[in-house]
Amino acid sequence: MPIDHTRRALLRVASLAGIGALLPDTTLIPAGQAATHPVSPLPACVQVDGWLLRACDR
Amino acid sequence: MYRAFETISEAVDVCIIGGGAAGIAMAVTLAEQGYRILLCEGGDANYSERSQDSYRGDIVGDPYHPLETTRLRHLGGSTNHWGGICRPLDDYDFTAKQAASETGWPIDHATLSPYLSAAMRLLDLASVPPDQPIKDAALKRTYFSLGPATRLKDKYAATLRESTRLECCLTANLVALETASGKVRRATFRNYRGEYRQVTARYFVLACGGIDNARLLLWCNQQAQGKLIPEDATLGRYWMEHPHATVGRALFFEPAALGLDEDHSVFLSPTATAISSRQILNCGLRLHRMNADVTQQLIDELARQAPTLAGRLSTWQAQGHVMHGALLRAAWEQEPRHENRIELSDERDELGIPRARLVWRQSELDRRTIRESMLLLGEYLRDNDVGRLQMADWLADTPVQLPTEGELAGRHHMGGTRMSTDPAQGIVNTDCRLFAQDNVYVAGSSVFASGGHANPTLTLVQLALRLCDHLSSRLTKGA
Repeated sequence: MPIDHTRRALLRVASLAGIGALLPDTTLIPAGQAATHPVSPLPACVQVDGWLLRACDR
Repeated sequence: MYRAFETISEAVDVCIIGGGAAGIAMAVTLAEQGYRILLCEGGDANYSERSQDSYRGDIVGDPYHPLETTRLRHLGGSTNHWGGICRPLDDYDFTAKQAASETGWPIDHATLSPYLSAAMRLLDLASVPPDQPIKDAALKRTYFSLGPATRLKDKYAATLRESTRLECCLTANLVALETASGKVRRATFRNYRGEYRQVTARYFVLACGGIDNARLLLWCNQQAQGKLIPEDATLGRYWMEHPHATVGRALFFEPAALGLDEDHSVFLSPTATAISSRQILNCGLRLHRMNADVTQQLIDELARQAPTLAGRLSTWQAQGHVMHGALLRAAWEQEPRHENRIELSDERDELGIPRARLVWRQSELDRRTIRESMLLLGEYLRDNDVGRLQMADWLADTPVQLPTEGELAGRHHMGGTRMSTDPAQGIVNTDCRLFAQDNVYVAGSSVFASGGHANPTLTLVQLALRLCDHLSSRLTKGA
């Protein structure tokens, strides 16, 4: 499929300014902060007598 | 109609060797289409020790059931004792997995789909609902047709007795295939009185099951000085089973999440994505709901290991919340491996044919498949807080130590005459024809390149009906 002018323009902006230019500021989290913003933390897990448990089950 | 052994030398269109699921399916289908069929069954009409004895054999490697107890050698074959549990193979069962590229078939799921309805009618199977995704799980809910099992010799008794186009000869045991110029000219049969008859046919179909297809071809090739299957590096090889075991227990806080509120048995399998990401093969987990008393025992056991959780469970029970325990059983796919094989034993049966020797071991991938499949379910229950799972002792720690007794495997014999596009990699081509013989075909699960986790009978009947179409086309063209 040939690239239309709109897509061409977007790609040009992205290549000149980086992909962040196309996205809202809040979308990108600096890599250093990513670890402190888990989306849905999984519970700590333990295996006891074959049971797959959450640590808090104990 | 039935023919006496001493009268079976006349030429026929197709000689089908073996009267089990594949053989009867093909015989009745081709006879209905007007072709002259000879069905040669090595056993009697009913069970006999004399015939069954030919199924005894040696086992080398992992523990396995005595070979003569895993199949039946009389008219109807193993459909005389099967459970009637069936589902088609999954789409991705036909693909080469990341964990084992040998699982790839040279045909795809769509190739067999046109034969699904007819195969289900032939086996009297109930329709199987489509698989259901499970929210937030790397597993899907699957369904089987659960019987009752159809005995093909009973279902087609009138056809076998009365059809003028289908002739059935009992106690006709294949002992040799005579080949010349890339065609088998004659098949030699022997009965239990020591008499021999030779049969000529335009086409021969070997349909003697997932062990004896390989055994008889090994023997016949040996008798023919290797001219039947000149490239025999994979003959008998890539033999597979479906390992079976009781793999653990689980308590479901929210039984509706997996359908255990409505159904007493629920079947689950890893999604294609999970199979890829976990680097495993296919697996069928079978959840059997416990009654209230056994569920309470399970709750009590869990409570001793998880006292904080026990408080929550007590509160829920006091509020009238219904939980279900389930026993977990599994059948999983075995990696197709060259070293797992059928070979000829040093001992011979009454007919003078070497008995089968099964060399069979489960691989590290086989062990990983069942452990990771259980972890998928256990992690789903735990992470979504809808239940907790306990793995069986042998599965809880690595390396997994597989059970040495009990269910062991499903008596599903697959491979040994593997389908391929390359005679160096398999025994039959995509039409199920021996590469080096223009008129000899193999029917049954011995041609499977891999076995998924589903019981093989439906798939092998689909393949048999597809082979009927192929033969019908050749017979019509006079090829």
